[in-house]
Amino acid sequence: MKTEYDVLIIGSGASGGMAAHTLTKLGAKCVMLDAGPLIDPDKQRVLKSVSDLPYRGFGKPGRFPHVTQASEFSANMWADEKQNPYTYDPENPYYWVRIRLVGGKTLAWGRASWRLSDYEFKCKDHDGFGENWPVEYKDLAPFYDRVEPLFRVSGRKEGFAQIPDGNFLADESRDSLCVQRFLDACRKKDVPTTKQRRSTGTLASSLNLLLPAALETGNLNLVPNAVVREITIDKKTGKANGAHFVDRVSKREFHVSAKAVVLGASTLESTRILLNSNIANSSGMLGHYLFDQFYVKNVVQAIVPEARGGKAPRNLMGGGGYIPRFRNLKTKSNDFIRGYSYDFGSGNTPGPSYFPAYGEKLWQQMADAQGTGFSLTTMGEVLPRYESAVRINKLKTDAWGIPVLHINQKYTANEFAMAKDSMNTAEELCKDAGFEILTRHWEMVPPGESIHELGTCRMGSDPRKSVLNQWNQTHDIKNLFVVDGSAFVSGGSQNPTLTILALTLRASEHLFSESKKGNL
Amino acid sequence: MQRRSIFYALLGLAPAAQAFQEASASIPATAAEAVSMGLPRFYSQLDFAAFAELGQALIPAFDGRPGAKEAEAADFLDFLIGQSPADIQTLYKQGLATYKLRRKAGLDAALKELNEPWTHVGPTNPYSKFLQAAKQAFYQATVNSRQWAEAMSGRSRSAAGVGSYWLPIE
Repeated sequence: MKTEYDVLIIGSGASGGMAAHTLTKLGAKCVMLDAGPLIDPDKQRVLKSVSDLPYRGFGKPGRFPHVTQASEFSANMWADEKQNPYTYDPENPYYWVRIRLVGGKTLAWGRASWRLSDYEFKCKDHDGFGENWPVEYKDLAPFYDRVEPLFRVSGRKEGFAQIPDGNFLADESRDSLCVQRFLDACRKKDVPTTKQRRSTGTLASSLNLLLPAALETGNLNLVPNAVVREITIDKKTGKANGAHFVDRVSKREFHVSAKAVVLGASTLESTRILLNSNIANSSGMLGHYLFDQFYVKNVVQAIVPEARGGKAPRNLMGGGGYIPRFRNLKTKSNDFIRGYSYDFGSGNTPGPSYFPAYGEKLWQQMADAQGTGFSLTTMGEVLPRYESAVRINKLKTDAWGIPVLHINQKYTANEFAMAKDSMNTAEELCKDAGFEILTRHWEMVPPGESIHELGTCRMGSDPRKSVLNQWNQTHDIKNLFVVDGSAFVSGGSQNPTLTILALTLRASEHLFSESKKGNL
Repeated sequence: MQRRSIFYALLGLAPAAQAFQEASASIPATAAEAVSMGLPRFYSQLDFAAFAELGQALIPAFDGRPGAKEAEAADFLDFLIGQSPADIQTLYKQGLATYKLRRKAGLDAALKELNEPWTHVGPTNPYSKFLQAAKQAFYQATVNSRQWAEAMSGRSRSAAGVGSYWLPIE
């Protein structure tokens, strides 16, 4: 590729898509490389009965040992683990969940769209652990304001400092009676609650909300099936000047040239590209401080007794909500720092494994409990630690001959204490609401499974302790920006996508403005 | 023209393949089909009979709903386990051997572990693990069967068991 573009964007998900959306509208000539093919989700999916699937919904055995989200319906969407391997210590399994298609994980995300607050941006000031971000909430707020309408985020304004309000489509839906009972129980214990905040629409992806507008400008050349091997550096200037990539299908090697590079290939892929390029690591911090958010799925599964036997009165069941972090805000726990949040929902039917029975007795118990369920899932903050890290495993390569990542992350006492606390609190709240507790537990899913992997290329004011500055610009190479979740310094318990979008918007505008001034 | 249509028009892309290309033809729907295709059975004939009996005990027909027997769940699971990783095969092989021994004292004795309260971590005893796994597997194979879909279609207008299936990308 002989053309020299203004900006090379690597990745087409939330961060890459937002960078393209912003930069092309400003007039920058951009080229976007994505490792996967371009598909049209409308044409790629068909309605099928589970009984017509080859494996009756079980899925092909062993196809996705680390992707619990991959049902037989969605299996063809997820990245193939044999073509895209990685390694970990068998004692500390890591579940790396990926989608290698244009649009990335925004094709399948849960759409929860929460803002971070200064409890995260200024976390060290609050409890002394870790590092503050080099930005504060007030720096990012105007960018959240602009991203939310793009993704048509619905929610309810509450005035909670830990999840700042935004530009929402107002969610005025009424709560069912069982949810109202639960909200009352929360109120009595000073536990805050709100509606979900979610991006809306039949598809809320980079593929339909960001990339079409970028392409319409005529300033974007989108190159699917381009697996990036490394970012290249001009030896005279020390600046990034493009990237080597491999055509996914033909496996031929190419190079693309650009005056600036924006890396948004996802948290771990971006860091892998930087490590394989052997750049941007004068601090020695690249790859370190990996974290995510731990999940305890169905931390409590309860039953609303009045709904048993199909006797639920109208409007008793259905709906759910969200409990934002409430621990360690104004008071201090003795057992852990930071906090957790919950998603809760009602009206589900607990599966057969919940019932200590078989045969007709099992059917009877399940019929009695049909539609009576009330359950919560915990999402907890994970502390970023130096020893939680990724490195290149030179002994193993992917299907394109590119060295893979070795990933090391495990949860520690702080997360365990938080998970236990979340189980006990959820149980108390359900009992106060008059629900029967069917089961409770605090077993977290393995690191990575929440698909909220963050850090490893973190921002910071001190170039000795961080890889990126306050503009997502590498300290070492001023025309190289990293805009995905790898930039995070801490993550709270809020889903990170909205913050990735806001950071990318801000970084992209800064890149363009600095470029115009000749400062890159 | 909708924005997404513009997107694909700009890229000059042909729509993704309409046809369902997956090699589902190579996957047997029944045990007889599997045998005719030359695929090995997981359980021997004797063991399979015990496995099918277990399935019927765990998930019997009930209130007009087909059970594991009617859904031919044992046939399907024999095929599935035969393709599964070694640890799963060991669980089912050894578990069924224990079941056959315990069954001599009656069904209740053989299945008494299933009356214990459920825990998230699950049992550590391999036989209890087998029973829990078999109960879940027979249930899922039953409610996901064509026989179940046909029986339930007359009872409800909702399209139970229908989902959005991702075609193979290439």
